[in-house]
Amino acid sequence: MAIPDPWEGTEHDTANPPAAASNRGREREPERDRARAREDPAAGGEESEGGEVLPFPGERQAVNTPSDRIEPREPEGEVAPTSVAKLRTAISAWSAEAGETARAALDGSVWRARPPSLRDIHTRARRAEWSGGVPALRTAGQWFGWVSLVITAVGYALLWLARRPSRLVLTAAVIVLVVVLAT
Amino acid sequence: MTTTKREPRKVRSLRRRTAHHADRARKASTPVERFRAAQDALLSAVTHSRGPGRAAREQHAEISEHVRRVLERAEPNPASAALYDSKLNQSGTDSARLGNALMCLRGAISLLSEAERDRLFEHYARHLGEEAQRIDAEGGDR
Repeated sequence: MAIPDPWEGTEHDTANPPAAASNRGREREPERDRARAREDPAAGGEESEGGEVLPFPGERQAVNTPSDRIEPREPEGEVAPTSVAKLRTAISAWSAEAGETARAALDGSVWRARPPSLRDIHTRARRAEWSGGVPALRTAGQWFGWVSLVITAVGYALLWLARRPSRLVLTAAVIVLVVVLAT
Repeated sequence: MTTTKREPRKVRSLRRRTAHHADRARKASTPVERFRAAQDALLSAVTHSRGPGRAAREQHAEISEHVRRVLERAEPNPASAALYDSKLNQSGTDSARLGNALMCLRGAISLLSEAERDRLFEHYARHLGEEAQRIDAEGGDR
């Protein structure tokens, strides 16, 4: 195996290494606590003494990478995304999802795929990403999400019972017992 | 009536894995996502290789070396450096140690400046992916 050293080629370039090396500390996102602590010479003298809590290794940073780069771009595009534009985004996302569902119905995925878990359904309802950030749609979707979650849970319970004869027999017996005792 | 002979299980498994990781790499839209896809592909290739222990040890040694190089550039504080060191030397199964090394590499790269970070994620994503392909081509499943 030979993963080449990423600095192999750039090491001899005279363009940026000295500059990059000199201000590397500052480039490293000074708004973060860790970097701020490192840069502050007065407080940072005994960094390890107080048991500084360091998240390991940069799960948070790794996730932050794309958003850090994307965030500044968004405001530059339009002055403010109007509700019409938002609605249009929601509709396009919605139609794409509907198309996907239709395709799944036709290409046999319905036969192969497992049903989504209740947790996934709940997450989807909570996020309501399809609403495209339109508040009314989001709220409506979330409310319906709860209703649909309950219906799905009941349905899944019935399916679970129907999957084994012993479960069905036991359930029938319990129901009969309850009815007989109640009357 | 004859039916076509079914492919052996290991061929199907290899194909499925390759397709899965290729799909992940294709869907990844940021350097760090590409890195994670390549990282998982490598780990999977090593785990399913003919000699998983040996392959994992080799890869671990190489990746650890790269982590140290990246850390030299990133200049983490002593506590952080010690944490990385302990993670790299942590005992466990060979594939777990490789997983740790890859995690450390990702963490170490995250400490660099933004431009450098993206460049390194791309660099390692490419080479880790190539490495995974090489291991798959070498023997694939046991």
